[in-house]
Amino acid sequence: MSKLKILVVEDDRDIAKILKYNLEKEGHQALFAQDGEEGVALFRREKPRLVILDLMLPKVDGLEVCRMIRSEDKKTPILMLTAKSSEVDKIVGLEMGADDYVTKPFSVREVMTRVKTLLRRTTGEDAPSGVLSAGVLELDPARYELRLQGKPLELTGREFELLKSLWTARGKVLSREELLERVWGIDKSADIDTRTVDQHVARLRAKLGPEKKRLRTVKGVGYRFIAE
Amino acid sequence: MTSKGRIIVADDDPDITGLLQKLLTGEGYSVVAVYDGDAALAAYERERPDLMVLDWSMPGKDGLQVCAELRKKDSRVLLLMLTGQKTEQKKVAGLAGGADDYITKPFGQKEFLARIRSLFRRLDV
Repeated sequence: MSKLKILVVEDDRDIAKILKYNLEKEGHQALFAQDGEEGVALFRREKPRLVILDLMLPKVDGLEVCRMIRSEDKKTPILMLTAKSSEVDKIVGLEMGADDYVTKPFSVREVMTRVKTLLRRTTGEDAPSGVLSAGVLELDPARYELRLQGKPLELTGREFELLKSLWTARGKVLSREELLERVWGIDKSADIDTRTVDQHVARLRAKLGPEKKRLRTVKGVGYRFIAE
Repeated sequence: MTSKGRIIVADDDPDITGLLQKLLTGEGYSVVAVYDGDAALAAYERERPDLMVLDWSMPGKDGLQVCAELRKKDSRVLLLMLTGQKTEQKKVAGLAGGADDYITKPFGQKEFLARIRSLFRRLDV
């Protein structure tokens, strides 16, 4: 998994240190905010890929931070990590837009695994490594190989990652911006020409031969891959 | 009324599947219950659900095996382990094996439903 920005909003320095150490061990970049106000400001400025959020925070509390983030961003996963352990608290947190809720004292391994689980779904990384097949095509992520009727095709790294992203999205349409972000690692807000994606799709189609129809253009939106 | 989503619940305890069916249909989901791992895999192929609730200990293939097999071929389907296995090691194994969430029994019914709603939100964004 590539290096991703993770925002931790936590006023307890010891917990913050443990999380920082473990997030960095996983290869991520950990950003810290010690109160809710700073948390929201950092979220807006840094656009992290995931937020770990304490509930009892100085200035603006965690629930309010969650509500403010969700009012402008529905996608970035939020994991609440808190001493509030009643069922009512959990329900309120989840209904407010949290994607997961873990109570303190917590297991670091469990939290890190839950972080990975949330990122798997939102970034499409750490996807299954088994061989995927569609018609006479086979995509083998472990060997970094695409086979047409059993014969490996010569693809560039970008072409392979582009196809893999569309394939593992299982029929879902991905926009050019999403593809730029997933395959090229370019932030959506960056002003990059999305025609790069179109050019790579055209090259991929030429290589896919009889199976090229599986790579569909969805006009005005992006691309999708039809496996069935 | 249109269904909010299709869910398969797999548990060898009919009391649990009965309870889950009642809870989930009450929320507007359509639910199919199965009682072992192989039936869970067959039901997945037949129903193409949005979400599967899997017990860990079931006859035939266990919940973890079912979870890993499904995750290999489907990165989108939501998988929730609902199990009496409470150790950190099992939780980590379940989540690393492809589950999106892991809830231990006994569970709070309202929290269970809140987590289901949260999972479906993730499917939509």
